[in-house]
Amino acid sequence: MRMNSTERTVVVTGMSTINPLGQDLTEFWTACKKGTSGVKKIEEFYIPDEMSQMAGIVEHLDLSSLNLSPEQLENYDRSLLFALKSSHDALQHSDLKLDSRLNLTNSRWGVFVANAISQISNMEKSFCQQSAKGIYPLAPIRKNSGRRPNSYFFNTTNAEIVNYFNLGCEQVTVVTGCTGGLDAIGHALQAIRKGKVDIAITGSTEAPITPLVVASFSKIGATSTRNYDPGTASRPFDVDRDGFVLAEGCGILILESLEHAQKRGAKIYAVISGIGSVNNCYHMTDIPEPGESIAKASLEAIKDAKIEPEQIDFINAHGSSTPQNDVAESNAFHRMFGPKARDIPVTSIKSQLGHTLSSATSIEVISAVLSLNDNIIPPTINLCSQDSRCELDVVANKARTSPVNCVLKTSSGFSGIHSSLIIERWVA
Amino acid sequence: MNKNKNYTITGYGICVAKGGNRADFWELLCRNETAFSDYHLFGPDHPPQTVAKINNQDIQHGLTKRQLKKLDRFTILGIAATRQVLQTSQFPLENEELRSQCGILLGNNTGGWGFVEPQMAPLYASGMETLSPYVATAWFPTAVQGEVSILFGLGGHSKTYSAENISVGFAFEQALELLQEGVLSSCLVGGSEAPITQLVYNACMSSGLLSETGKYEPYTSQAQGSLLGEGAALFMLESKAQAKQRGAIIGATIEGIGKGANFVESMRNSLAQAQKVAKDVDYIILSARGTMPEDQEEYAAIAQVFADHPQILMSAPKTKYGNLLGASMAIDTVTACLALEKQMVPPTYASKSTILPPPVGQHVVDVPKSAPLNNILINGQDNYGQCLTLLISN
Repeated sequence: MRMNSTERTVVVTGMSTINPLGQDLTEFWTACKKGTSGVKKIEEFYIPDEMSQMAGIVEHLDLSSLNLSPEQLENYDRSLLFALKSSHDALQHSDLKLDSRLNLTNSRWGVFVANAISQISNMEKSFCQQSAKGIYPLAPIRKNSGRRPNSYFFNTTNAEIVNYFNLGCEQVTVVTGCTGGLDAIGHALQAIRKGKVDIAITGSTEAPITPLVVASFSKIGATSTRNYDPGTASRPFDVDRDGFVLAEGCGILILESLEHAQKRGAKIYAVISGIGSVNNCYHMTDIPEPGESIAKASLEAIKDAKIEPEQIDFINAHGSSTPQNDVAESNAFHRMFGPKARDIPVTSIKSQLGHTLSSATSIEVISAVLSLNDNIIPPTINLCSQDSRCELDVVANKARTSPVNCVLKTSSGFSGIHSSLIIERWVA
Repeated sequence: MNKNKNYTITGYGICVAKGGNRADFWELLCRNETAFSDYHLFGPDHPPQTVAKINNQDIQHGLTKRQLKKLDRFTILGIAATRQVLQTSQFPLENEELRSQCGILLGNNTGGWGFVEPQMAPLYASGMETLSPYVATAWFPTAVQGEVSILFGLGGHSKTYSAENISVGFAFEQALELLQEGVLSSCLVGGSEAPITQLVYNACMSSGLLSETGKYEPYTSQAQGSLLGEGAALFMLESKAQAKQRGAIIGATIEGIGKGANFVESMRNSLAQAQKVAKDVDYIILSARGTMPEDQEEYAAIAQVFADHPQILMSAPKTKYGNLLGASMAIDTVTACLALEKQMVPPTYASKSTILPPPVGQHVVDVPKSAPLNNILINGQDNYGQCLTLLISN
């Protein structure tokens, strides 16, 4: 574990998630360990048969704890509502009372919550309002008095979190597509390590179930068309996988310097110890099959964490269920670990949730932290016949009890980005 | 020891309206005119919008028609500026090791709506099949970073940041840290933005950011918002040792990056990081958000930090080319580099009589002013009040 006198150790002291499996940590983890699919048919709008008609959907969203006005509930984008609720719950989980900042006089906060497609629901809603759903051409609109949140700005969700909790702190949005959540956590890791902030609200949020997003991924053949059986459509490492399943959700973590957490007697759930990120310089959407870039990002994360590859005892994979990704990831693991790659437990919870774009990675980090605490690896469901090109110990269909001390979390995204994170058990 | 001093800008590129390269841009900054014009963004049946839009023929992107078909304008602008950076920095693209350790850290705040917008009406009125397959990769803010990495084979740690007008400040901060840690050996840093689209324009107008009068008059009593511009500016940042070794020209250094809840904090933090005092600063590039409260708050902060430095010069070059949102601080940094090279302060475009005088210092209006320049501050503020100040030195 990375421990030296000049850089601070960064620990997880709180977390929460809203995703198709649950709206709090317990609900999510209970369902995840059971191997539950959160994927359903999209009913809100018509989708042609040749496109992916399903998604991982959050149903019956309960926002009562936020005390938002009817106007806020109406105007806030769904991704922002997810983020506010998860941030609220994560702060409670960390036992950082919302007014405790006033008592921690030397604490410096940062809010680094990523998104890939910003407030897309509100953007599309505003287009429909201005054009009567595309019937009339757009016309200029008048200026409002006073400043209002701008849904077309990618920093709005992050900034509104700062506003809601009255933090008045440093905030920036990392907008790197599907690796965004991991990149935001990496940004928070660096900021705390270097002593720029003491506590960070980080992670990612996404609400992409809209006509534009569903169509854009379908048009490039990235999403599954196993429409006849949504619950089995997301099937990482299975020979019959045919693309990812879009999903919505949010994962928020509270990161702190070890010193800060110990000073306030916080419960420590894990250590975030290394980040690595590279470009594959190959293609905006395709991943090179040899997996070299994924391996490079992962080895950089391992080096950053000052551990040895042999210490990795669980891989929480990107496992998107696309034909390309799963083979490339498998090749990357073999490149990194040699024959031992066949013995390291691997799972992809995207099989259960679907792919929540940038927030997939932060939800998966939360899942990895829970694995560290419970020594339980949630299953990759729908794995009926493992692809022979993916010679890995995939935890198939049923959760496994296994000692977990050091997790490699991988991720890949459009633009050819690969980011990896190391999460370790906290030993006092 | 301020480690930032060990790193330098070895080349930069710019593409804004009437400023498709650094010579044209400097001329624009010094001429008594702006790049704004009336543009019928919503068609001839509606009144025009005043914006600073780049003529297509001024964008030296070097892309084929096939490539252009897949890209939004903000990516094309980013690629055009990147080509200038690679040329001016003489970056050895043939050196695979340097390429693999070269990162790309960018600012952008609105992505590629220009690409998507024309497809929205068919999508909703005629069906989802009408959508272009390139939307998925053209629209999101990371498109520039991805396309540049693929086009030029730059493989190092790369990220894109959104923090409205201070996005590029975060990109510079990360770049310096990654260089200092040895994660990168060189870094392409900057920003790109193409927000002159119907939906983004309406969103900016509705949220209160823009001026409805067609005038951008910061630091006057008539100030009521900014006008949109578009463009990109990028820089090659690397260690002075590496630059010397490969015979590159050593340019300006980013010695201080300060953040804060207001300009007093951000300017003081920037000075502290650069290990300089207020009297070391010669010129301030103003944030120019263009509303009375925000402009006056910045003036007051300058008065507080520079109380003992009445000679301090300041101006708002954005009045020439507009508000470029996520690329804003990148353009300001080019201004700073050119001002240091020319030893000249570019003026605010305004009538001298309308500019409210700052409590401390001199606001340079209308006419460029020759002055010995060694250290320049660049102030930026996002739409939520967060401030960031860069200190650029010769």
